[in-house]
Amino acid sequence: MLTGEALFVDDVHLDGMLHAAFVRSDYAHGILNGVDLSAALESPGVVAAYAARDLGDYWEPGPLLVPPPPIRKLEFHAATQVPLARDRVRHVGEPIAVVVARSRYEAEDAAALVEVDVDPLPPVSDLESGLAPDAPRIHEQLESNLAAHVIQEKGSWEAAREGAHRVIRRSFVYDRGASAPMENRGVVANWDARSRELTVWDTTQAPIPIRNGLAAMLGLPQSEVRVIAPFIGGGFGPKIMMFYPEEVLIPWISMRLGRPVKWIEDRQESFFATTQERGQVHEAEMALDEEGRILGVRDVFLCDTGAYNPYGLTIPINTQCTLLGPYRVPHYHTEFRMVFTNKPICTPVRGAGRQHGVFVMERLLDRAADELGIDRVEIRRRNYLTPDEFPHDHEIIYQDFAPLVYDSGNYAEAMDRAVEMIDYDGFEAGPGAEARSEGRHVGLGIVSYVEGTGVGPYEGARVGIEPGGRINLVTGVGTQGQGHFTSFAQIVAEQLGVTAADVEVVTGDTARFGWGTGTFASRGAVVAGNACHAAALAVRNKVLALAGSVLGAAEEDLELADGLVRVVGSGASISLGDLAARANPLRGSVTPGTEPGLEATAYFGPERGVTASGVHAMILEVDPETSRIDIHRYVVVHDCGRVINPMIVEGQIHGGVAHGIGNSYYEQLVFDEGAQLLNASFMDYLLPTATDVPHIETAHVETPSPLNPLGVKGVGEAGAIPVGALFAQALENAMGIEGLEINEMPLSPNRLFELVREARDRE
Amino acid sequence: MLLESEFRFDVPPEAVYDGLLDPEILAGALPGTHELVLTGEDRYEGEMEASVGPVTAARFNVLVELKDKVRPESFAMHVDGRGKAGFVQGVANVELEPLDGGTLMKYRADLQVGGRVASVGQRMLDSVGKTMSRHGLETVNRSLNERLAPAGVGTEALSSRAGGGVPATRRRRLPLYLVVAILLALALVLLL
Repeated sequence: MLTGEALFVDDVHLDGMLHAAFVRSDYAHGILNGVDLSAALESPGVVAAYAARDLGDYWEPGPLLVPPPPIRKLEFHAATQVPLARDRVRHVGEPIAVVVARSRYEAEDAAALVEVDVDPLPPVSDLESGLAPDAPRIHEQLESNLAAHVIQEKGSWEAAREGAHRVIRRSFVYDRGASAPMENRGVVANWDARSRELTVWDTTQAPIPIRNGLAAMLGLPQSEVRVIAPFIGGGFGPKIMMFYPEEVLIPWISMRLGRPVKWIEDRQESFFATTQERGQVHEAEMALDEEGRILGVRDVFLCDTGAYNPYGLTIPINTQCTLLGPYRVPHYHTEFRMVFTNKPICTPVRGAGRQHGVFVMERLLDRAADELGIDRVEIRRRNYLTPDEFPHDHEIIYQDFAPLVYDSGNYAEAMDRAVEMIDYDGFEAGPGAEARSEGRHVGLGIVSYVEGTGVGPYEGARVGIEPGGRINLVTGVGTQGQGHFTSFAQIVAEQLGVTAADVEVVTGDTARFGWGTGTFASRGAVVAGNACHAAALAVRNKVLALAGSVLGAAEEDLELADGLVRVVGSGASISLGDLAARANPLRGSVTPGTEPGLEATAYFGPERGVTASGVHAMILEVDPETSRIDIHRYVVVHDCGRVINPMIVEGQIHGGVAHGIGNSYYEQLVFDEGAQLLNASFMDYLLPTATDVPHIETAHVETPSPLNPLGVKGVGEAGAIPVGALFAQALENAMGIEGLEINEMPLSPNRLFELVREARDRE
Repeated sequence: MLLESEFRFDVPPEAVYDGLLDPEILAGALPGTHELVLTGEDRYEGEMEASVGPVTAARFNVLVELKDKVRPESFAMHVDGRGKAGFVQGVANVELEPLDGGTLMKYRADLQVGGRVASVGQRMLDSVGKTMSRHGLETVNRSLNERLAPAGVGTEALSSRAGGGVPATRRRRLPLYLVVAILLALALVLLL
């Protein structure tokens, strides 16, 4: 709920604040001969303007955020984004110059006067041709456009194929979409030379790494840089610690000019300047026995990283690892080539490569079910890992550099619940048959997935009790609407015998807490949540120890409730506030070694990620004339371990499903052969609206994770991950055309219409 | 963007060929042209303006080079237009065949459009491209007809206006008395 009280970056107004506007490339690829700022500098209100050559030593390619994991024979070529293009432009929207003026209006007007001299080069817009020997080379220091080549293997695919009753082989395409947050990116920086403090308000999911990185780049001690990630209107991945050009330049400009500087991304910029995801092309095979049991899978794919690859291999490794899903796959060959293209940079967007893996696996299983004449739910049941098979080692490496070992799960139970909720068994004879008899196209889809969540390395939290009784909780992760204030407060309140409303939560301010990594990979509740739990537990122990001596009772006889510590049975009690005051004596002496206050800091770092899972099912109707869809029912059965707050879990699932629906049937970033984006506005880039997102029925299966004290697993991305696979199955089922196979995402009414027509022509 | 079409001229290929290589007439074929001057052999530079959907009155500096000239059968037009709203780049191949005393022109333009014109104007690009080329060619046809027929001073100006794309070089040649008369008429209308 928006009440207007929260501080967003654009709400920051400082005296003497200047505004920046960026000049961006119209060309997808070209030699940058020169930038003429002279006319812009003379424009009214302009204070400064910079091109790459004006940045001096500060011009440096950004950091490689995620180094490649330790996989044997891995080939990886890094090329990270630059603050301003210097000799070459590599994607449309790449920043070339920045103009700073009294107002954004004046800055934009002046930016339009910057003369940019580019000799266009042929661009790479397509993955296959990008790897051709004669393809234009995007990074002159590299031998080709190959960014990485990785093979991971378990068992022997060859052996699985030789022993197979049937081998299914298909190609799959998953194209790009935008993260499209409600609030675009923004940065305000203020260098105060007198107090020697640089304050940066930044729409980042990871304020602490940004603080550390900016300090290093600007040559400041970390203690002189404060990064605040205030309320943020949606992160979805691209607001991770990207060190975006704007994020790196605005603080530098503020220091140079000695003035506060603001830049707020506009919606059109966001389509190019904020990272995107999904472009992959798969060639996959599945070997099965007569009963539909999976013997092995082989998947070879190309993965688009865009013009640069600062986020390393996280996306394609997630694809490799998530493909296995809840299934027993004895033999697995997975191989990818990551390709540089002249498109905006790809980094994780909610799901982060997992969608693709689920799509490939679920589609192969659907085809196997068709070809072997096995019911689609039954073929999945036959292949599920059973609860006694955990921990289950898949023998490949996950994005957290740890072996992919599933910690826990109960996949058949989730499927049973979903089957019951959507009435799978009654659908064909009931609503399905009824619709067909009326000439309507109604179909049911039902798919499974797992999601590796809650990866390390670590997060921290500090819990303290003030003399007034207020409980403070501070953690380093940023928050973008996930409900951290409620969930984290609940975790602490439970340990201290107060209500969640008594706990004041602060996140995302490096001046308040300076250790941690950030909010990503569905890890907030798992990693930061368990750190909050550990800190609360430590404070609880301090409370018990002090209260025991004050009340003259054994710790075992004490209980914490209603903001008090009570001696069970006697009625003697002391409030937490009074206890906090006593914990900070101002006269007299204490026992040597005594720490003042009721405060503790704790950290949590899991040995590896935890495995969430679920089943999505839906019934949808397709209008055969327009290919418009109407989702009649949408069911999610989800296992995120122990549920901290059902409403927040459901909210995450709802948001994820909406995102998934968009990625399946509405949203697609359309590029032409020249790598020009053709739908960079909400006039043409279609987001699902409230009327397109159905009521979502949810149920929970709880298999607590053994890898953390709270037993929780992540849920932030779960809703978005299986939706493409679900749509494909439900649409095929609804259309009921023999040759209709949906092997690509996203679709649109147009594209479905074409696929249906092609299938009918073949029939 | 691929623009592929045909157009019928009333005059024979030689006249069409020569006409299209004349900067004055060529300017008419590139609608929205404010200026087009011959700056070297087969090389023209100028400025044009176009509106594509939400991108209005975008100005481009245009460089046109003619290559592979085979009079009166064919030539290729290399276009490089750049402006604040993006760019247009590519080659238009033009073929001329005699047809019933006139000329059948076949053209195929393979254009890369980039920047804001492409990213927010894409929906309208195809239809704007088609409309612009048709209007342009109609203007050229009219100019060629006029050139081959004796033309009166006033009709020349009026007919180019009607064509939509007014070559600036041509407009500048309006007799001074006519300009004064039009301005006076306008002033009167406004005052009344």
